Amino acid sequence: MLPDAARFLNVDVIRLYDLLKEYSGSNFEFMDLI
Amino acid sequence: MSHSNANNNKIYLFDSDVLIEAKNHYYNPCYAGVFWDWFATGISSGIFRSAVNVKKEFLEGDDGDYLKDFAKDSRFDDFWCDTKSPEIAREFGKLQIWANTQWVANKRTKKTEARLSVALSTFASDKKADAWLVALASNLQQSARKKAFIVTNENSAPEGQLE
Repeated sequence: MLPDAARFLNVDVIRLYDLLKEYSGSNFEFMDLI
Repeated sequence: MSHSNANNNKIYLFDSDVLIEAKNHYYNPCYAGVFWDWFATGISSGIFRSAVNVKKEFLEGDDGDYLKDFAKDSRFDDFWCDTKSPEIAREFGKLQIWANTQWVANKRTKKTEARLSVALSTFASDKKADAWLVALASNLQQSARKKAFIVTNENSAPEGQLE
């Protein structure tokens, strides 16, 4: 429901994995944080 | 890792589930401290935020819970955005009308009726943060001219189905 509600008010949603990629550099790997 | 490419015009608002899932699974603090350091850096950089309603959810957790301790930690007070303003309440009201009209359209069947009622009452509850988080994001986009994103693991419900 939350993504639909966000879309209704023109707010974008982002998954944590994509945020990590965006703010962790081009060499980001999922396991880098472990 | 860094937030060096952070765009000051963007702000990311975390829902409760994304942090709970991170804590319980992928980024358990017992072995993924680097993730939580990254998260704390995003908070201090001013680009990671959430709603005070999410804090209330965390404070209802068990004693010793990592996110309950996080919610009580005054070093992260800036993370929690207040939602008590007429402007945010107005956005919240828009969401409730939308949920009870547009969102339920094509979802209401005998099979889904009970779950729809629960979903709508939860969405309207003061104790659940989802609607307040969206209302906050919308308000930040309008008043602070920020591009707001909600960080969530939730997916949209397909037409005719209920999450």
